Amino acid sequence: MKYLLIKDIKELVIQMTGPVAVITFFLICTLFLWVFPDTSYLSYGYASSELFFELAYYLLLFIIPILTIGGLSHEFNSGNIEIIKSLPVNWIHVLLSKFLSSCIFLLIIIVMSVLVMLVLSEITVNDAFDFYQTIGSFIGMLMIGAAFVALSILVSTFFSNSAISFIVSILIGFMFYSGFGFFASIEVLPEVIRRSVESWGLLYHAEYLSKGVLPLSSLIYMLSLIIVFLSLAHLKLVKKSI
Amino acid sequence: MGLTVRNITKLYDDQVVLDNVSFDIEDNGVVGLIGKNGAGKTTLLKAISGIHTADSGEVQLDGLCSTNSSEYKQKVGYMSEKNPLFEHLYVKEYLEWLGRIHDLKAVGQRINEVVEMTDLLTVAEKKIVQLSKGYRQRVGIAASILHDPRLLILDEPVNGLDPEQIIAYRQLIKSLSRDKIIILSSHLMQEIEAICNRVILLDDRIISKDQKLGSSHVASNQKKWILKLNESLSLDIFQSIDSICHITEKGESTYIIESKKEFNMLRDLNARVFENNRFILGLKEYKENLDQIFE
Repeated sequence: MKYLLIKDIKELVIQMTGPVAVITFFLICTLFLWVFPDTSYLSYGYASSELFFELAYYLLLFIIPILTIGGLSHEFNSGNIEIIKSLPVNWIHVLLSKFLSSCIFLLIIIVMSVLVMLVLSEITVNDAFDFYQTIGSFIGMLMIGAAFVALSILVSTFFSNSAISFIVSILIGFMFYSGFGFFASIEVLPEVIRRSVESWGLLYHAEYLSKGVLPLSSLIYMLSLIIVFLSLAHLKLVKKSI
Repeated sequence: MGLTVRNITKLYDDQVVLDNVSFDIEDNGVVGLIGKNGAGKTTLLKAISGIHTADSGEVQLDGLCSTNSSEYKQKVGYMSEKNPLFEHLYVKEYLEWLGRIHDLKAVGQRINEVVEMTDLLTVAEKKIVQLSKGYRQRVGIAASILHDPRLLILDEPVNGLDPEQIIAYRQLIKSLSRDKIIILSSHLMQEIEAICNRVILLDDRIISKDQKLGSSHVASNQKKWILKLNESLSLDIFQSIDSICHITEKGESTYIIESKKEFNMLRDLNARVFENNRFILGLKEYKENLDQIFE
């Protein structure tokens, strides 16, 4: 598994997918937080971590599929999956390797974001950066990002076309992130159902985390999502013919 | 021991691709697998290599079932027809990666051996993407034998090799077959004939013929002849000749004869044909090639 992971990380670097994802993330963040007048810290004259994380969660929705779509579908399209399947490794190793290699680039994004936050907290004179809120938000970023990675891997087991995988990943990711929240806002539904549906959304849990609260239920929910997505991907791969 | 393939059935979307296929390979050597396009050769090879799981049946190698995935795959080398390779890697880097996954001791030494065996020395430091088709085939073969597998499966391995490379490849396969079971699939009959000891014909999802090649199916003191007469003659007349062990009709007034003693057979045959008012248009030693076996 270790050597599969090394290969997958190497591929993400050589094919430029990983660096492009990281650079795109920070480029868009920079544009929104420092250049575009509607959202720029400079226009507000006030820097807060909330805006960054709100933007970061949505950006992950688009950035994560960039990292994952080239993975499994490329292995199938190029026929390299035959090499992998002829080796003493199983589908769980293949999936975990794809998952972890993408998560490593997610971690790079988070580590670089921490550095950005540290710089911001140093240059601002206000107390806009609450330590616990920021830590909670970073945990949320990691969990939501990992859930998107697992979801994108699951989607890529269904489609051999990378473009379709990319679009479907974003759509389903959006559904899981804030789509349930929109459904919950439909007032004709009974209150109990609305609350239940709202809690299925990742945004609902991310809001808790960004307040510096770490509810066990939120962490369990997000971990469960990751496990369910990867398990479904495993089931699909076992049935998929090479 | 050896390889046992028992009642393998494989379906793709409810379509039967392999139907109850069974055979055994007990001895080391090269077994050729031939069949038309779509007969199920690649599917069978993938099932034996452990890449596919059959819908029913089982594959065992030296008593180890293919469902014991990791252990089984350590004993199997597989080169696919399309010969996919990780193109962004260097040849040695790719082989080293495979060696690490197979948990080989002394990977570097083994890579050097395999690179020399497959004549890859001049391109070992090159990126795979830069290689010609012939070299890529050799990298595929090197990758499949790197972990010294007990069973080597080669699906159309000579695709893209030039005549010189084919000769070198045949020598390599022959030398490897001393201590390995090798299954080789090819569209080229002469390729199978040149290196295989046995051949299996897969036709329409089932094994329709399984035969040893060479003279092994005819006893060493016997010979096969092809006889052509001007007019057909009852088989009983031939069977009454002592030196003829077996006779079969092969087309109009043409017969395949298995005989014991050459001199007696020719003398008796000539006499019996003449007695029955026929004459011999042709008589020559019959050497079967693959085309005739699978006709």
